[in-house]
Amino acid sequence: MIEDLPKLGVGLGFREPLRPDIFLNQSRLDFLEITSDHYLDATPGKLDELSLLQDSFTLIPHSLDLSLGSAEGVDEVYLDKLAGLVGRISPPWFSDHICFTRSNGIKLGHLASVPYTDEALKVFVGNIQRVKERIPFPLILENITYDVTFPSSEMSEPRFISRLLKETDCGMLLDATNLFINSVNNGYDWRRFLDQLPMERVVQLHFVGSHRHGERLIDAHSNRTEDEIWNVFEEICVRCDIKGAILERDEKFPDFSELLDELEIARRFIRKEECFAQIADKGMPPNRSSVALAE
Amino acid sequence: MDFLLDNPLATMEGPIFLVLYGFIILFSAIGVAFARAHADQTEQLSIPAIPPEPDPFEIAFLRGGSNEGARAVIFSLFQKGSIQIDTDAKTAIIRPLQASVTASGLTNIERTAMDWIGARREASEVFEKNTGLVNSLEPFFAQYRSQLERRNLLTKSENAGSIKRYAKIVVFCVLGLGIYKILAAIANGHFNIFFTIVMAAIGSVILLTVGNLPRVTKLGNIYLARLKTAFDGLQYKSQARGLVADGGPNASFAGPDPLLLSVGVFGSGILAGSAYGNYNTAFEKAQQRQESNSGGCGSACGASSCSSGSDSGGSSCGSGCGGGCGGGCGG
Repeated sequence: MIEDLPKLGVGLGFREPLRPDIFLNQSRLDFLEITSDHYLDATPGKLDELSLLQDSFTLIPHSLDLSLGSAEGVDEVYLDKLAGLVGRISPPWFSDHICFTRSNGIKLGHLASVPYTDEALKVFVGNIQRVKERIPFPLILENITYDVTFPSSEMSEPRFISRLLKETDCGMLLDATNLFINSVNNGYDWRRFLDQLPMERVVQLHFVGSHRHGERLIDAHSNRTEDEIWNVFEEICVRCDIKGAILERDEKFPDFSELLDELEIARRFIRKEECFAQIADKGMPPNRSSVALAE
Repeated sequence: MDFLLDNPLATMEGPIFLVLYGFIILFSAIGVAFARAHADQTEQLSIPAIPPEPDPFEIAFLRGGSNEGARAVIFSLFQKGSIQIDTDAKTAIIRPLQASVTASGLTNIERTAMDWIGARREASEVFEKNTGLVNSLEPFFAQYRSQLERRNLLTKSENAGSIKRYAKIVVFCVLGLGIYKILAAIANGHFNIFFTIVMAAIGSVILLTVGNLPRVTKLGNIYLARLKTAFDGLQYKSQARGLVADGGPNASFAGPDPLLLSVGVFGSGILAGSAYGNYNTAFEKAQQRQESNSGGCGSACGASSCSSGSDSGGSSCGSGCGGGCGGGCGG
């Protein structure tokens, strides 16, 4: 099923301030990812915006609040609204996170990680089953960043994700930035993490620069993608056939041409043969960004 | 003959006839309005997507007709550094800046405009009927017109004509009834015909106005609104204090220059107060001169082109003209 999904290319997370630049540069954006939550209780203006985007781009809805890890189950009202939105868009797939955002009816306002236990896995599987019954489009799941690890975890994160993807038959939205940030903050090797993931299930990538705060990294979505994250991105592209990649920039928007440059770099990694040929011709560049800009 | 002067209508008391006449005019107007609404059902068609490379001149033409199209072309030349606009207290003079630059890097429509400018032109000449830039650019505008009509964004001339004909027939009947009543009243020795004359005149004007299909179709207005939504942020960028006037077009974009596009979509009024304010000042002066010559919402303003019959002249300054009669013309 995952192999049947269309190859979308490289795109951008839609943010309202970027709208005019996005329409001015349609030919350089393969698709857009929208934040589903912005359109669930949409004003007529937001609905107009949605149909405007829909007419010009393939849209991937990316939701924040399905709370697939909530033991109390999925919020049916939220699920109904999301089903309506996804049905309206008819996307190739839609996505949410491997986390919980609600507990006992209280919204956390944050993507919270779960202990990697059989019990948590069972909760995820049950919730995802419910989502799949209600929304008949492929669901892909994204890895999040976390600052705490649970002593009660019974398995590693990649093992948990592998079992989750297998038992739910979902694809993965692999956030290269989150993976890199977690590897730095929690002291592990992201290559070994990738070794343990079922890479054939990776459908889409997220990438953006991280923000350094002392010794720690934060996924602030506010910086240019740095070389270390391009390394992760490239390694993922080498290991699997990516259907799409999204630059997730939320803040401190630079000149749009800078974002286009980043998309172009990602595009070269995704079309790996071309990319490798170019790198082989020129020798491995110390800074990918400068290579793309020079060309 | 007796029947013509001795029937319920001819002998009807004046006030009662006026009430009846008022109702007839009202229902006629409703009928014409219904026919007009029926003639433009383009809102049921699918809304065109924003093209990957929108043409700012075509958008300006759609929004405000030939005058707005010409203003956008002049702005493009100004922005590219092909012309300069010198303003004094009364006039604004357009001159070519570098003759060598004009040959390359210009589109056909811009080159035609440069030919028209020649050694120098007054900004007010841009909109002159037979000798203005608007006239020189007509072949391009005719092409835009036919493309936009084909895409159901502009009212097709045959549609506008048929509704106008229908409205004229209704006006003829309403006027005929009024004239008949006036003649019958005079023949019966009643000379208090003033209110009937006033009602017939007002009714005719209302019917002709209602029977005038807007130049831009409902779909065209929806499309323009969609363009404004898509490029909403551009107008704020255009008004940014830091905007550099001699920066020229932005070459880093795949599509058209953002500033020129924002002038096409929102009208040059958005440039007021920006580094390109000089351009606006020039056309304000042009408008003032045109107004002193012709009065009203002058031909310097694209807003005068809002009726269906013409792209460069008309009576209504409707919303379809957007910024054309806003800051660009009026500051």
